[in-house]
Amino acid sequence: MTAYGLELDSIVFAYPDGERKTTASPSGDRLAGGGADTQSPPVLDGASLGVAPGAKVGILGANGSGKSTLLGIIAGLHEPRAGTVRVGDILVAKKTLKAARLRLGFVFQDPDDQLFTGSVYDDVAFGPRNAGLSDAEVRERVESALATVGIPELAERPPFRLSGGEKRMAAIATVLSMDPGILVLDEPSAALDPKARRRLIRLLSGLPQTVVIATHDLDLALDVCGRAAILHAGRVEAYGDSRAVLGDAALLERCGLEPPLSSGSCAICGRRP
Amino acid sequence: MRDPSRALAAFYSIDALARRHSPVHDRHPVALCATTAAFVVTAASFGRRDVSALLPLFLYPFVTLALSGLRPAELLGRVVAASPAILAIAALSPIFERAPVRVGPWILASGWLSCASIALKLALTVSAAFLLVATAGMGGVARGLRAARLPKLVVLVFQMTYRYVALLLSEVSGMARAHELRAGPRKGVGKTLWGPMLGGLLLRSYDRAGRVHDAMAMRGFDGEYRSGRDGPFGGLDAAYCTAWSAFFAAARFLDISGALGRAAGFIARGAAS
Amino acid sequence: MHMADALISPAVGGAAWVATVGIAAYSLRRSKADIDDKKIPLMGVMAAFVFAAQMINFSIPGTGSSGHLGGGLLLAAILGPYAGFIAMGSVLAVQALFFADGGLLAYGCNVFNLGFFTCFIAYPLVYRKIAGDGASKARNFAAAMLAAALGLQAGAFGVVLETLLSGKTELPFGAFVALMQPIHLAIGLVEGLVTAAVIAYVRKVSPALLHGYGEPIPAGRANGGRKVVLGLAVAAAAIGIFMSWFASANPDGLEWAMERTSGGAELEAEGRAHEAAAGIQSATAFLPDYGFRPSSAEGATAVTGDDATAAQDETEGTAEAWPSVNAGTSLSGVVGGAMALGLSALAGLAVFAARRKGERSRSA
Repeated sequence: MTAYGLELDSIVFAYPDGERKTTASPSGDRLAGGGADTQSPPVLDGASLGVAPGAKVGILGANGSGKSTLLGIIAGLHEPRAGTVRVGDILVAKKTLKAARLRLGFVFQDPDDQLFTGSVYDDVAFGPRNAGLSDAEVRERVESALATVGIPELAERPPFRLSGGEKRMAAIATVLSMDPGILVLDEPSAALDPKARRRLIRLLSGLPQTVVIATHDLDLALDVCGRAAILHAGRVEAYGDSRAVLGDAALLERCGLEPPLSSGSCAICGRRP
Repeated sequence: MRDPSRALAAFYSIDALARRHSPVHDRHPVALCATTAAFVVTAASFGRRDVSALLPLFLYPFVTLALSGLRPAELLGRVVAASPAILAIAALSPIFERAPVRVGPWILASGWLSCASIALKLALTVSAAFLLVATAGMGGVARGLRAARLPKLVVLVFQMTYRYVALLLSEVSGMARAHELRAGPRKGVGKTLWGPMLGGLLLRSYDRAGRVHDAMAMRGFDGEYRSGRDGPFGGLDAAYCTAWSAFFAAARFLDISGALGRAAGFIARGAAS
Repeated sequence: MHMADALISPAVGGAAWVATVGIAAYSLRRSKADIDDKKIPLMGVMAAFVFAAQMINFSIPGTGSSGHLGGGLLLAAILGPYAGFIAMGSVLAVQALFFADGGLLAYGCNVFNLGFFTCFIAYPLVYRKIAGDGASKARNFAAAMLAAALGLQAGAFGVVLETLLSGKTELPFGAFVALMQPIHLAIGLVEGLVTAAVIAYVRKVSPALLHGYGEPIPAGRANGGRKVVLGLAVAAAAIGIFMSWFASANPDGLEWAMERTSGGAELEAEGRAHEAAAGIQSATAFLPDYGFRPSSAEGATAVTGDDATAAQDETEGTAEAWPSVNAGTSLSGVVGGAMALGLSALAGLAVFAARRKGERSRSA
């Protein structure tokens, strides 16, 4: 495994009208489909971010600030209107997409989207099999991925029988088995109970890969990520050491965020950590 | 079955049953599928008024049930719930087939034989289907279908259906409960809600399918499904399959019931004289 | 209604299986060429959606009763006929395996009845033709109603034909049709109403999801489309001719039924249809049992030689589509059948007891 760096340069992106995912509009109301030419205002408007190999970066921002969109662009799921993405030394484009994706492990917000086969084993094996590995190599990859996330006993279970925490771990295993150099996670701690969340934090902190996490969970960002970026109005508003960024109450206030619990003073004794 | 939560429970219970171990569960899934296919074809090949000739076939469900350690009640519930429409058609036979037939010491309309024959075949074939999924499981059935050279992508679609049925059933049962709580005494969903209720679910499912596709593409899916090779088809598997097939052929082509009856008659007469 | 294994013969079931797999393989190629690998998860998730949607009960206005969605037409309207057919096959497979709706051998018949007719006949030839570009609400509604009703009528007729060809019941053609078609008219109305409502909703909120939305028909494709329509028309005509031939074999179903009921005309009244079916069966039977089967005369002597009171229905032996080895109506047959059942149960119990003992000694 080689941990790759990541380089985003002045990304501009807007959803074509009518294609905005319903997940972005919880009411389920879609925009009436019009021609593809009309575009809604850009979600990202000149966002830039550099991640060093092996670094762990949290991408923070209020609802609708473009976190998920930014991840989609890193993964090549959306094509930016302007700007470039580099994964290691690969400039992401249509031609290089496959090679870039081999270096990237993308963990979706909803693990049910990522676990689509009949058993955890088949799901974790899906990527390695598509990469053309032999059955023996596939087995080795699957076993080591499941061991890393700590659920080797669940290999033969169908995904719909797993708990939320187990599903999350299985989803991470599905990308770890592809031996990616960069791990990109969208809201990994959503809907996890405190114990599962703790387990997740321990896992992510210990991974050798470059890790990019988009999250609302500022405490998770503080625990896992050395650096944090705040997205606001389509741009990276602040990027730096996570303690510094998350300790800046005025900045957080301006970007519609609230300071993490652990950086504030203790509610009972009033002491700061 | 028109109750989403019960359907969901049935899914879960079959999955749990299929993950057990027993001399039947441990057979190669292709052997189980082939045996089931042979059984169903044999049962269906019996004539319209065969009743006693069908009875030896019950050896298969009885012995499989015992070997696999499944509870008879689980099977019985399936058989009882099976297709009332078919039984209704069976029940019409005595009305249309009036030719008298001598059955032992009694004289009946031949339609009763047809009726009994259909009911027995229904019990046999429903049992066989249940025993298959409860021992081979969904994964096993998929392997059987692939072994039968069905297009791999069709099998993949089938597996995904199974995977997402559980998810959508829980969504539907949530919707049904929410509707029930506010709908008052009315039975069923009123006309004005048909579109929004199902349509909304449809749009959400459509979006999910898009995300699933992204998840697949991220792990190298290019329209080709690579399923990995199955475990070895051992001697025991071959023996299992062959032994049952031989028995089915015997039950079909030899008059087991008649022979038993004649033997009993011979013994009875011998005892009398 | 789903066709069940109990009503079907191996020949009919096998033929329908082969036809279904063939159409599925062809559809797969078509839908792959049509769009891209995006359709694979779409088919799976949409099939799951239909299965789950079938669990919702809709109350029918003014009747106090309720019904539910079948889904074939809806799948075709979203995915197009090819992918819709595969998705419907997937729905039916889950039903057959996990809910005993339909059977394993009858699966091909069910896909044909509920998938083929809706996706390849009702949708392209009725729905698309009437709905046109989808601008008119009334036309959309009429299209969905008509297509759903027609699809289900064809499906119900398929059940009748498959059952009669299988020869597992002697229900007269006329009576069977008179029973099945009206019931399925009612079911078709529910299907049409629900499908129309869902399509109308989707058209309002997200019309791009509908198959063929805003697709100007380019010259090249129009040709191909016409070819498909032509092919389907030929298929429909062939089916129609076959059906009318079939119907003429039993010119008056009810009269036939009366005759049968009065018991007068015995087995000659089976009619040409059944004979034809028997012919098809013996021609396609893949378990040719002639070598093993005792002739009906032998069977009769074997039985009478043993038990004087037993009388095998000899006419039955000659008319049986798939002759039974033993009609099992003699006393020895009845006793033997009961013994076979009892011995099977005993064998099951013995295996169960042996396993128990084995487990106990292992745990001890």
